[in-house]
Amino acid sequence: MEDITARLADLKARRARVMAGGGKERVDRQHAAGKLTARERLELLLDPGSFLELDQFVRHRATDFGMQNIETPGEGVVTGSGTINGRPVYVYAQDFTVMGGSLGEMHAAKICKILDLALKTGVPVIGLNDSGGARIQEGVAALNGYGEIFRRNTHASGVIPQIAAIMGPCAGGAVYSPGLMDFIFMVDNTAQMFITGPQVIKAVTGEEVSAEELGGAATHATRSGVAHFRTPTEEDCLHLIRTLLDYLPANNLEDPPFKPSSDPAERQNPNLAALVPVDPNKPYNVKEIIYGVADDGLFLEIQGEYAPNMVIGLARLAGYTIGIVANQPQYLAGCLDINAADKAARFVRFCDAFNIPLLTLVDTPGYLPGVEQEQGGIIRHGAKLLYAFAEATVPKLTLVLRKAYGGAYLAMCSRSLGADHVVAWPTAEIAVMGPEGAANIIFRQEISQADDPARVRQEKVAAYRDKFANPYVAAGLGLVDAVIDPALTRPHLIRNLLTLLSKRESRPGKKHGNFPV
Amino acid sequence: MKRHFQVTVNGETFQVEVEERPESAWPPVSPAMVAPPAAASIPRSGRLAADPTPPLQDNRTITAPLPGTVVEVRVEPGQRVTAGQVLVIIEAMKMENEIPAPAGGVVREVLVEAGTTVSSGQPLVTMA
Repeated sequence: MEDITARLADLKARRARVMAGGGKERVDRQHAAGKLTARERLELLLDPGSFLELDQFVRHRATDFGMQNIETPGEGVVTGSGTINGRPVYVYAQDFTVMGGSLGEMHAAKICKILDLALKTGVPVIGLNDSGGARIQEGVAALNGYGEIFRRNTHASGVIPQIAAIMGPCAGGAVYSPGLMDFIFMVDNTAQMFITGPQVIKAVTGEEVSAEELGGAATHATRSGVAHFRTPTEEDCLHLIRTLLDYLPANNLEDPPFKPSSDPAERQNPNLAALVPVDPNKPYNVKEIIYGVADDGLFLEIQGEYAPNMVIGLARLAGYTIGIVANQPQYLAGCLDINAADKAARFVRFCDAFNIPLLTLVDTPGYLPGVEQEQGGIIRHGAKLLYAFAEATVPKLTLVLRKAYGGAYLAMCSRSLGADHVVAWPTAEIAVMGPEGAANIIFRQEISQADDPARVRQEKVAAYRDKFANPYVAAGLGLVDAVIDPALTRPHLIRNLLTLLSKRESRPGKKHGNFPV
Repeated sequence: MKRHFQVTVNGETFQVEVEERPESAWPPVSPAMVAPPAAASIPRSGRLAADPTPPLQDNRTITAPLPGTVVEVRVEPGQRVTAGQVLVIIEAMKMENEIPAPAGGVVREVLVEAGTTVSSGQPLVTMA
């Protein structure tokens, strides 16, 4: 007669089969490729011992092409929940050792269950992707699985943070789940994302390109902007996900975690003034300003290698998470262009969705002139940034460091777009355009008719600069609320942030706006 | 040896006769014969005539990220530079934009001089 001991032994044996994934040989191959297994990754991602697995015994139900004889332990994806620094998260990790991590109907169902639970409970979801793509043997049932995931990703957008790590191949339909999520992490050399791979491209267009060049971490971090973070190793990647989550609330109804630091709120920084050259022609690194102001000098930059003329990322002021958007004078003179506007707009919307106050640092001469920009649709893409800032209801602080000219001044969270507090350094130049351009237009006749046009032009430029190349005209109109000594930037921003934290602002009820995508 | 081919260009079909001849049998080439057909005479289809994608920017050729005027060249051929070292300064958008070396190496060629007007993507310096 059977007793519970036998049943327990049976359970143990069944579990062991699932835990072994695709078996030793395939696990060895995974390791040889410089990759960890799905379970090893989850162990590094989550707090030790916190992982609670779901759906260990889910199995596929395909019968075509010999599938009835193929066992897929865990259906090629490990799913469940756990904690990161004590805060709950839902996770799934595709198991490349089981049929190449291919996504079948039931594999997708496991992921959908995780997304449903994460959305219901208001808990962030993290997906570790390592999959050859759709399980061809299952045909349209597998394809449908992707669609089910896309719909859930979309519905969860703006409700819970969604994070994807790409730790192997991710091709075809598989790329769009990460694409719909908030942040994509990629691992150097092992991660690849593309809609159509090198072979298909070669067959159709004749272009020859390696998988790495087409969709590797470097490509997506620097050229396409698809990847928000890239890391040299999987360990670094998983660690960085933990760091990112520390800045974020669990869902849109919570505030970001408060992390007090030993860095005093009243700390003055006399070095800040020297970081920005008074000569508006000289570049500098705006990140130095951020380091000098943020708690403990910590700044988690996002998309650092893409459109570097715009800097975005997360930091804290007096323990409160803030999202920073800054022009980078060191690259493309800090001009706004298509990619910079696109990058910043998406980040601003993320911050607004998750109650993260915004700090905007302004030093931009304007939009990047050029045929490529105009024909590339800078009007359409630039509008995203205006829309995102104007739409945001979180506290919005703006610091004008130096140049704030024309339309670019407006786009960088100006008073007119709804900034709650605008502060300027004495080096600020808030004007419709630079003094040279302005003088050439206003005094065109006077200059051209003068005996010595060069001298007259110089005089007029100087006159315009004296009148407008400062923060006081804007301050006189109340468009700038305060002009401060740069050394006082940190205490000034913190005091204003603390006051603004209780800000409440609502927009007219509507289904949704028509964001200029 | 003569061979016959059927060639379809943009849906239009041509019968073509091709003769293979020993190399020495080629007649001397007159300039008129080598002139390529005018581009416009060949109907272009997206697939056939797809322009090759520009080569990915490597670390060997440093190009202008924006149009402007070179105001200073800080390196010369043969000079060893470190990553981040400023090679060229381009004045554009009222800013003296510093163009740094993406990686360490030796400067092979300097393709611009102070006063040169450069367009976006124009090579400035090549590195060995």
